[in-house]
Amino acid sequence: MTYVDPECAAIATAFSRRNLRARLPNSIAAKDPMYRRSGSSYDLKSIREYQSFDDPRTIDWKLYGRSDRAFVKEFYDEADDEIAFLVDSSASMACAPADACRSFIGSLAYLLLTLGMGVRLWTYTDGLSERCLAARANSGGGQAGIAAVLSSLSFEGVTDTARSFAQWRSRGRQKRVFVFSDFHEHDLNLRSPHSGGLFLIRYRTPFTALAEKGAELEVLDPESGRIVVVPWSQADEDTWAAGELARDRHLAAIPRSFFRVLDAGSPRAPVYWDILERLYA
Amino acid sequence: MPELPSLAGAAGLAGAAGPVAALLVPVVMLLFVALRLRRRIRYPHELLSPRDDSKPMAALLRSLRLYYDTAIDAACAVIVGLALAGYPEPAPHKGPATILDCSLSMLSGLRGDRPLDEAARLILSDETLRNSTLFALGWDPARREPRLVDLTETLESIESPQELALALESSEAFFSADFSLVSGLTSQGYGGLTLISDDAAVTGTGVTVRTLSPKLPQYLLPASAAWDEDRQRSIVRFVNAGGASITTLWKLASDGSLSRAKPEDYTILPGPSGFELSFAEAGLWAVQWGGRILPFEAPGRPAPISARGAFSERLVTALGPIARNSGVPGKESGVIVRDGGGAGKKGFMSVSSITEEPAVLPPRLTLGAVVSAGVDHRADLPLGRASLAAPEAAIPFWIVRAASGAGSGSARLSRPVRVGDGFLYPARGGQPASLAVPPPWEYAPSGRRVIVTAGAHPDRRLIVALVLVLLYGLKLTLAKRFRGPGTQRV
Repeated sequence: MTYVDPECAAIATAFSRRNLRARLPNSIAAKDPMYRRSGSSYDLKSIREYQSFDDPRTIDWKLYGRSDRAFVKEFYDEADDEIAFLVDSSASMACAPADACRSFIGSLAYLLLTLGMGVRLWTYTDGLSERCLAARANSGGGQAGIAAVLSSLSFEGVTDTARSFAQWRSRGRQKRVFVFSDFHEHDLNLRSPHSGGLFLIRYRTPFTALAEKGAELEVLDPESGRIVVVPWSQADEDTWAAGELARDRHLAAIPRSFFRVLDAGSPRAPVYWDILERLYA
Repeated sequence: MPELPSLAGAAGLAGAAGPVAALLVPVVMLLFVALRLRRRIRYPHELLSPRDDSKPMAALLRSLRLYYDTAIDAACAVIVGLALAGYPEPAPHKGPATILDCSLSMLSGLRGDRPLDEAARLILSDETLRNSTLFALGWDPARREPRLVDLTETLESIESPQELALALESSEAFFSADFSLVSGLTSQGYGGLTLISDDAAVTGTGVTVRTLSPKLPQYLLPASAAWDEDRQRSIVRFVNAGGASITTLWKLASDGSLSRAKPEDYTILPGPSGFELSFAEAGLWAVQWGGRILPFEAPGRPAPISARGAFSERLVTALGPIARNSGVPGKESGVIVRDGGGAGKKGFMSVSSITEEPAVLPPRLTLGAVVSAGVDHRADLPLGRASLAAPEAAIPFWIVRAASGAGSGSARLSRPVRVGDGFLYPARGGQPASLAVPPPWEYAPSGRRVIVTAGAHPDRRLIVALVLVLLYGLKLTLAKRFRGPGTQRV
């Protein structure tokens, strides 16, 4: 299973017809590799003589030993065309529409890979996964690898999005990051990467879809295993709706962030468009 | 043997198992139905709770929330079941009480040797009585009713029996005592009741009676008072015992003042067991004997009987001289005989004509004579053919008329004035002055037997009710916390 929505191919085709080069980042849009942004990848860009503003640590000492002149190596920026996916795989996500979430992530990865970008995917619960999956646009197995990771998600453990995000900040060098979660934690504060973008995709199942008015429900927390009895009335529903609204507003208010809520069955194609527009804005 | 009560309590509690179990049945059924109907879903709690409930109390409430409703219902069922089985058992909670008879007989004898003095010595010398709550069983002259007064504050400043006796004499009327009030103390929560009285006829059930040394009866009492139609005088017959003899006759004014009676105001004739005083007209008088003064009333001429209704007219006409010569039509006074209902109304005697006479008139109305009568609860005298043929049928009318000659107690009580052993209620608002005198048994043993019962201890319904109120208050509070608008939290 590839977890790619059928309309994604059309979206990718339609989006590629647009003057993407004019709207791509300079590093990607530049036809001459000389104008691509320098960075820390292993793709060598150039070797030039050491200047006073260069970091002395970048001096190629072997070359210095042979030529008695100081040269520095420049590499392409590896993060410019790579996007980080942080996928919440904690137990609470099992309550969200998991298949729809997998399809959305898979479709988005497909679109990005089709449009020439790379995707580096981590899963997280109370911490970031040790290993990540890197899918490149040119590599043929990128989409398959992402599908394999998505199908292997077991949704277990306790969520700690803030800790996982901090771990990613220390490891990853991507400028743009997608966080896929139900965001059930209180007072979650995430900061957008410097000169990048933070995309928060919230998947949830509304409690109103599970509870009947006037009923009394035993609610089992999938992460803590505790049970509470929740009587559900119109007043409770109003309170819940107000809480949800406050939570969404809090997440949407993060600077330089993109936030969307996706319930089960809600259309995904407009969200793809919005994301792509935002990426290429 | 300290275990015996607890064993009895355990047996009693076993008896409460039935009601408790019966009341728990619906609770268990409700729990069963609730658990059957309750759905379980998986959902992150934090998505339901907009605030952090990480405090220990919140965890407790989370655990409690599952079953708090059932737990409170079960607790209520247990409490109601125990209450139905008689728990908590009624028990005194105010400690022992001592009741002192403050009737007139407690003052008989010489000062220092009176039953009151003996009782004062007993109370102050007996540590058990001293430590109990002391009550005076007396009489309220203002309200003309018996009363029970707490003497705890009075006793605090008392150091000697003489002081106690004096304090009681100044505060209590020493008129009569109603022993039935004693049982009221038990219902107020007092236990270990001790009654101190000089009345040897008093026995107690659940009440310890400390009988004081009896005194030789000495009295001078009015035995009867009536208007003598033949002599056209008011006759008051006195009986005496123990060497009591009249020393002075006083005329009692309506304001309570006494003035020595003039010889022409009265005549005195010796009788077989006392003497007889006769007066030309009605009035208030007082006899003095042995240093004591006893007021009494000489009744006046009773008013003639009037009639209202055809049957009553015929009856009253047949009564002869005691009937009103209806010279003034429509003007009625004295006792009124009337047709129809209204039995027992004061100042009236209702009669009815009936055909069947399966009963007899009450002997108290006929001075023991047998007079046939019918059955009509609406009338005082249901009379038929045989009744009217009996000459004794006139007796009730004579009795009623004679009783109407004496003054009756005023409905509007005036401020009482102490006159010797009794009280005078001065004339007020058109009502004549009236007297209240102690009953005869305050002077001499009547031979009646008085059984003072302790009564039942107050059951603890209030405690049960309070606990139920608290439980249901807790239930409401928890329900509000868990279910109220804006508080739907986990």
